[in-house]
Amino acid sequence: MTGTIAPVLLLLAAIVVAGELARRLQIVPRFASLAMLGRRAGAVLARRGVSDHLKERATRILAGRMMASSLTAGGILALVIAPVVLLLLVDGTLPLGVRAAFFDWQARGLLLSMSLIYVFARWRLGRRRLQPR
Amino acid sequence: MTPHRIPALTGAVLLTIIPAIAQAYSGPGVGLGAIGVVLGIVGSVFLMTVSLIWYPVKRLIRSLRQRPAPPPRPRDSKA
Repeated sequence: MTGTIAPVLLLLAAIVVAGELARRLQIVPRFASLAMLGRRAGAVLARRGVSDHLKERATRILAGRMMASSLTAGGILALVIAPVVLLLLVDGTLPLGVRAAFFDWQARGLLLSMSLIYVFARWRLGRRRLQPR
Repeated sequence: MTPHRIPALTGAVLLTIIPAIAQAYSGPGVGLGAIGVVLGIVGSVFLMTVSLIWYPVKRLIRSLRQRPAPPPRPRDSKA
């Protein structure tokens, strides 16, 4: 493995921060609500027996909601990936060896295994916290 | 497959062998998320277009078709 273990630990920290951000900001439910809005819009357009005036109002409201939901989800997605991207950008000006570790297969394997251990531990911890006392 | 596509396909396959060129990897989560965001924006623009253009135009066409024909002008009796 090229370099030391420090860049791998920096990358792991960035990945952990990204994972925690994704968990706290509830990114998956936001995309689920976006998909639900799309399904509802399709149902409104395909529905028969409803006046065009009502459809016009409903599609206008749904379009606004869908745009707001899309932009929110995109912003959250950018926030979630920001730690890793920032670390790679910082490495461009201040050489920390992060990019070299990012494109090194052994470092990637180590990162993958450590990230999987973290995800498993976090998942178990989250489940335990959800248990009623 | 048309003959001119074979060199392009060969070039694309050869480019995938050199991973250091692109350095533009995005994971499946970020990739699918970005696709979802783009689809959401496109869908909302489509819905807004339907709402602001299609239904008003449809209403206008329907009102033009259903408008009763103007009554014939009474002829001037003196003429």
